[in-house]
Amino acid sequence: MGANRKLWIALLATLSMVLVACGGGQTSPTGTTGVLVWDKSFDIKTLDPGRANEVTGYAVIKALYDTLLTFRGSDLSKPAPLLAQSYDVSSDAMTFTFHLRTDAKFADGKPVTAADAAFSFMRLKNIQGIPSFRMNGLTATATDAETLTITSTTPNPAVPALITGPSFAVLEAAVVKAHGGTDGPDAKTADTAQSFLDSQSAGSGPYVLDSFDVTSRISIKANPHYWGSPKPGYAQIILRNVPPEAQVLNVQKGESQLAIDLSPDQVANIDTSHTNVLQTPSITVFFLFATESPSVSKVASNPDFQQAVRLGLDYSGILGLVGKGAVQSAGVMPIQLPGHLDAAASPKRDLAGAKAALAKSGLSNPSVTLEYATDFTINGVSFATLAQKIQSDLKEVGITVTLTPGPLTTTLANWRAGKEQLGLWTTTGLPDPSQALIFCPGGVESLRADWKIGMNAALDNKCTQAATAVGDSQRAAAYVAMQQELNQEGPYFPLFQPAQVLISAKTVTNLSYSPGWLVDLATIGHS
Amino acid sequence: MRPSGTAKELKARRGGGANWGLIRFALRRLLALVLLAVGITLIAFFLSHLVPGDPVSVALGEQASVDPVARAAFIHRYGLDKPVPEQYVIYMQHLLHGDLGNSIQSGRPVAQDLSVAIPATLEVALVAVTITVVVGIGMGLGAALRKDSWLDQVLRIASLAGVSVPTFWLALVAYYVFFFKLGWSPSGGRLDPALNPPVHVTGLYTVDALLAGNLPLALNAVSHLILPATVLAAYTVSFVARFTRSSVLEVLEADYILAARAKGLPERTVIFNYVLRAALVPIITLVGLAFGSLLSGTVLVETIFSWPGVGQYAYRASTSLDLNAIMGVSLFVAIAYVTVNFVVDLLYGVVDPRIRVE
Repeated sequence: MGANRKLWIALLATLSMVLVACGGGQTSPTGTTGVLVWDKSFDIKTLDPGRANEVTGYAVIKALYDTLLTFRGSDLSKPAPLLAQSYDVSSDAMTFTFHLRTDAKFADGKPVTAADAAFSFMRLKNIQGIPSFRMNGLTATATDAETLTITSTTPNPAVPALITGPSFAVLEAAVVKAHGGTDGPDAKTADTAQSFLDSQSAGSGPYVLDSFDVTSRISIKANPHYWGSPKPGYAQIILRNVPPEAQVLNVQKGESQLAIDLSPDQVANIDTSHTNVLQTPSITVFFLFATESPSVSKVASNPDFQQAVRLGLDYSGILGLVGKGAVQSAGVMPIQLPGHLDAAASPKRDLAGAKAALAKSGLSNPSVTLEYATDFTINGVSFATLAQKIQSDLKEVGITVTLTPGPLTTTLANWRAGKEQLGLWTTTGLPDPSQALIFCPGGVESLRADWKIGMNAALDNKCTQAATAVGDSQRAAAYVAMQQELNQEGPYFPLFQPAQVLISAKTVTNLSYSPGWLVDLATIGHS
Repeated sequence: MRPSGTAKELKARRGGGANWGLIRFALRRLLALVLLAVGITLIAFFLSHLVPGDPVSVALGEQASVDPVARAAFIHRYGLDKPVPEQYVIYMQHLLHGDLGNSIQSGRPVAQDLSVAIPATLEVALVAVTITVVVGIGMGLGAALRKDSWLDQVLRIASLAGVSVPTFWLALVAYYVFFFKLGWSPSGGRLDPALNPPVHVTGLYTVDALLAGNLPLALNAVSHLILPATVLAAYTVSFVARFTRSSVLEVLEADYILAARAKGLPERTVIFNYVLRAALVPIITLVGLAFGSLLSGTVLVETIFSWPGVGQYAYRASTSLDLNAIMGVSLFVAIAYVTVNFVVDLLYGVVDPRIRVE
């Protein structure tokens, strides 16, 4: 019995030592060996550029594949060259000609040609995956080995910005075709390349896919033959699916070097001697809207009531709730885009004006419902907290707001069906001013508020001018005019852009927020 | 001592009729499992459709969901354009062929998703239930044998605390203390970030790593298991300890224990062969229920420890109205509970021969 006991003790002691040795007691090997560990709360289904439609996938795809044009950092003023060294736009904004550079090569050493780009774009269109709508009305053709032409059935000045996105990644056509890929009209059923592209990349980007587990981990490795500059900053980048609560601890502990799903509150007391904290406005805009449909609410659709809401909201108080790095929105367009309204144009609270507008409305003890989603947050901002603040602000005006929280699936359904009296939502999307057109009468957002073309002729006209303007300055001016009118007449109350928080180890360099794909892994490096 | 009872009972005790009885018992359970599975699919399917919501918008995202072509293609792909009863019939036809359908969330077959999530949960649940059995029964036994001593008081307070503390809070605190402050535990996930998972055989990383002959990888997987399993076990250990204490105390007062001691049997034999064995029946029930509960996943603990298990998968499925995934998880949970209960029933017979006879 004594021998048995000794054996057990020896076994337990050995096990304990081994576990401690292979457990957290070891320091992270990553920071000094050229490996970047990025903690991210995963939203990813695939790494097939033609099918991916989630932000996590976007970030990885942008590192594996090059696009014709790109945006550098958070500068969305004008697309920068990448595979295309220049491009021309026809005067009617219906034909776009891209001139490709001749020295770009795929990871296997083969040259990148216009035919590869045309194949990639037409595959995106014809497989009818979720992001295929981006090719609506567009056709891509390779004129020669270095020239790609995109034609649009309608004037579409947004095309150069559009093709910066990961959906427009250029794939090596021969490789993808060899693994079941096709860009033909029957690609919806004939293309079977997704599983290959989830296991191996076929791009010309600075990294190549090493391994991909949709639920827990993605590993990419430096492309030793990368044609561009800068060269890959890390030998390996590993993305781990980690909740925000653990991300803060992991970066501070040195287990990971980058985290991005955090709220300003979570990093308020972080030790910045070992960690960089970047807080910058996200591209997302939070807004409140009121229905224009009397059948949904006679109160909310009253123009004077809407003016009372516009003047009654405590914008600075709301901004105070959402933390450092957030900015008040002057219009529906985020400040990163050309054509946004200056901060000076931001609405301010005017309680007396709000009460006067309410009195003018003729409504007695007005009461409305405000719907919002309870089961998700964006940039750490809780919709419930915002809704309570709005309820409190409007109560001071004399408006009773009944809060109607619900799960996202339910509130989305009501929103899309145009059933909400007041709704609290966000907008984000294409990194181009044209994104704001969804708020014009008849636009996607406006239809949810039952705001149709013909209800405001002046605004209809300004929206048309913005949609068809060609040239950077002309477009920006048209969108400014459109939003000014929208702020006066529309049923929308833009609130703020929340803070996008990035924390990283001090060793990480060239880190900036990329609105379209969170982080440009292709350009970050380490010291 | 001369054995008592009828010839049939005596034969049963010797095992003569036990095999046939066991087969009948297993068949009855299997039939119940099939009926339960059908019932579960029926309830889960129609309840999911009663929930007002728009899974298409959630799945497609804001931009794509407003594109009519993208919406139509998605709806057609997942059969959402068909009447609900027809959708159910189609689902059941596929299910009979082992096809659980595709997940809206992941875009992959649900069976494939579950083949990753279930082993992840199973691995941590097995460790948690092992801790539960060893520590829980040990604590309860120790407290009962030293009733009203300081040890009993300490163990009672500890078990009360374990039952009272919310598991997600304990998970956060444990992660902060043992990973961030003390550095004794690795960060979340099933392996260190730089390590690639072993080749999938069972899905249990420890087992697969050993099968691949990679001992360091297996040990790394074990090191990642300990903290989440311990947190999960904190609650069940406390319950089992309390049950064991009361159950053992009850048995200790039985006449046959007094007789065993009077006969001069060693105390160890009395405790382990007479007391604990008799006290085990309610404890087995409790451990079985705890294991079933652990298998169905614990969302918050899995989230905090970045553990890609059934709980996280079920949560994502329910918040996005991912019907096929909801059905797949429901079926798994039902099967897990029935299987665990079946094993528990078998164990009754092992620890108490009277139950075998009945």
